[in-house]
Amino acid sequence: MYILGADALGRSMVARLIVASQNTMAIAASAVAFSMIVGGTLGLISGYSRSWISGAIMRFADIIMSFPSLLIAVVILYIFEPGVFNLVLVLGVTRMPIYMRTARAEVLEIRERLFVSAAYVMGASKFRLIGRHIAPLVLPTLTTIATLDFAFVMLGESALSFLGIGIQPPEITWGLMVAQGRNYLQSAWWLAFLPGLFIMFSTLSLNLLSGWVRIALDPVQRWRLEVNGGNNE
Amino acid sequence: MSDPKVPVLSVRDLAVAFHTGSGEFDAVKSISFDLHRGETLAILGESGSGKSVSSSAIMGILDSPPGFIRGGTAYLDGENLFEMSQTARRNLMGDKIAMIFQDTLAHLNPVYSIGWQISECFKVHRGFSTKEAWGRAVDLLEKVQMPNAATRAHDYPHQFSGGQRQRIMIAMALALEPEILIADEPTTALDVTVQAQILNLLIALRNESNMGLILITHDLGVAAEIADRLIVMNQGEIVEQGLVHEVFAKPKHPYTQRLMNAIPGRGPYRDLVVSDEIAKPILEVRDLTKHYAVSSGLFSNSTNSIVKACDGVSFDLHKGETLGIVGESGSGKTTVANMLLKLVEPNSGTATLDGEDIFSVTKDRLLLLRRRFQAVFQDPFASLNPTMNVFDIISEPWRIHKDVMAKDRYRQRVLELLDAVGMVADHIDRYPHEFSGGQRQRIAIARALALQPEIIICDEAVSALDVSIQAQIIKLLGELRDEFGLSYLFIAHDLPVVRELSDRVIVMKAGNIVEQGTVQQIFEAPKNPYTIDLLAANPIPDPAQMMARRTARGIGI
Repeated sequence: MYILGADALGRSMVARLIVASQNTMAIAASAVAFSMIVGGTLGLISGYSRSWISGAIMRFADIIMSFPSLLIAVVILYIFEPGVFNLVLVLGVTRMPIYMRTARAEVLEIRERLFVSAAYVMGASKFRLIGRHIAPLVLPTLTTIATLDFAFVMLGESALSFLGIGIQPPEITWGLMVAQGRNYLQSAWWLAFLPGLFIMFSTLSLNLLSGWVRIALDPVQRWRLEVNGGNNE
Repeated sequence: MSDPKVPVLSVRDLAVAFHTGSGEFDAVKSISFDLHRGETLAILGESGSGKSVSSSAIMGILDSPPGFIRGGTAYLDGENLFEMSQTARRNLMGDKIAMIFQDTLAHLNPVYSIGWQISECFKVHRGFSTKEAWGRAVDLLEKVQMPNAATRAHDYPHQFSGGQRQRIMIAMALALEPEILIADEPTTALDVTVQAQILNLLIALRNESNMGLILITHDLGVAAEIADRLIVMNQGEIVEQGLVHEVFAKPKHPYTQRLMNAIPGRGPYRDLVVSDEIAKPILEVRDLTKHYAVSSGLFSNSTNSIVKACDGVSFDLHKGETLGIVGESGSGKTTVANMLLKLVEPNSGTATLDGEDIFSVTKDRLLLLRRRFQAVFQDPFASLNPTMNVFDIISEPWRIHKDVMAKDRYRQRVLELLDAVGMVADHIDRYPHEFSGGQRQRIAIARALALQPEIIICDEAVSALDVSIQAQIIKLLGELRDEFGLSYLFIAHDLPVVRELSDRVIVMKAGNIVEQGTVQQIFEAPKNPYTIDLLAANPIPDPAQMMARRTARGIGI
């Protein structure tokens, strides 16, 4: 039970790391999913629309980007109840502009491709053009960003928790564990190091996963999996 | 000087292979050829024949990995290129061998003036001062017949037309007076009249400096026009070589014969659709106009000039008829297609389909009208969504027009369409990247046929394909027309292709129709000077006509 040692209050590190993984994963995953879905959708609309909406969405992204994200988070969480839901919302919103800008840039390029024109000539509706022809090509880029963002969100959450406006003890996350362990770095380095290692490993595996998913979803690249790993079937 | 009988470049048993996911692929299998001074050697082949790979290997610009030279030698003035050190070889490049490419915009640096880019050569290789090098650059630009060379040297690549950029590339290649110039599809991206000028220039420069010219091309016409000797490559092997007029007069190898037979525009003219005069046209286009306003200054809101992409174009299209629209780039032929497909809004004009103007009908009505005219685009690699399989691609029109067909009949109907365009049932679950260009174009045609349209607008539908594939697609389009009573609006820059398929032809220039008439009228008795120029500039792979034109250019046999 104590193979990884104990924290300042004598609680098992192993047990705490395992319990913390639930909160960490849930918060990071939902925040990333939120920002990817909302940001991606807004980006698609902004890229496809030629009217004022496009500009409006982009200015909205600029506004979010121009505020220091932690500052907004602090203000919002201070005003509202610091709970899991608000935390997800704040982390999600502050990370949205990346998805919006990337999605928009990709759409601007893809919409000029010939197969989009071909579908338009057939009479395809806007929803069909965006959903069936443009979005599938934007998605791989967005998932790659999402996995990279995962680590960022975990650390952002830890910073907020450290300030006491994120997750409230006795609830625990890896980020909070890093924050709490910082006081004991000289005497018990593993308190901060181990949860940090976990954050790194989960990011790393997500990165590998996203690389694999990207190949698996792309018909042009799929043969790579079939050639090297026939046992994946 | 060296003995004229000794070849300047001598390639023996050159073999190039590529590492691929499923083992090694032999792109070039043991080819040998010689190049003499003052000679033009054309390497002719379709895509995948290894013609470009072999020249990249000689130039040392092979993508490596995955490509590698498996064996063979290439002697340049008695030295084996493949055994030299990298440094020695790099010094040779540009100095003794130079190369020009098809895509000129990609090979010129956009942030430096062209004068700077040409003079860089002299600074690096010859150690000239900036001023001296600039003077030489201007001389070179004059040599390649660039108008106002001294002032234009200060301009940047995007300010030149495609033909002018190719001249700049040639100027750069010639800077150090190489012994060999390798031209990889130098005129493929250019209009026929510009192509003729560039070919003339290449020949004039070759004669002047007595260099060896290797011309890599897929175009039999170009090879026939300027080459002395011809190498025909297929799947990495040389299938035939010899003097140009001999090969064209009497091709020996079956592949060469097939290639020669595939040349479009030599068959008899199509019989005109009989009911032509009496029947009411299904599509009437009147005064179609599209102007683009171009504002010049960064801070000026006033529009300084207007580009007339399409200026009052009118024509009729009858049932079962093919109307060819030819013109060079900038003639507005694609603008016409895009307006009819509603990809571009016209400024004014009408296009009446059975009494309804497609530009003024309501959205719902337009959706219904769209079923009656479909399109096949130029680039079969870009016109199919890479994330959809063949079944999804061909059945998409029915998913958009839901009342056309019940869902359970999709699969069967897709199979029928695949059969109609000469594909097999196995193809239905595959993705576009698994097909060749010709097959993709067949899929695009099947998709266009899905709604059983009356009109198909083909925008350069065969331009991106190899000659033999082109012939197959043209044949297919002709058969489908006769089978389903289709009308085609066939837009192309390539005259022989238009001649092959069309009943009537419209010749466009700068947004206007300069001449129209039946194919026979246009090709045999053109009246407008522009049409005459266009026809004259078109390279003809016919030995008799070719010899006359070669003599006019001053090329011996």
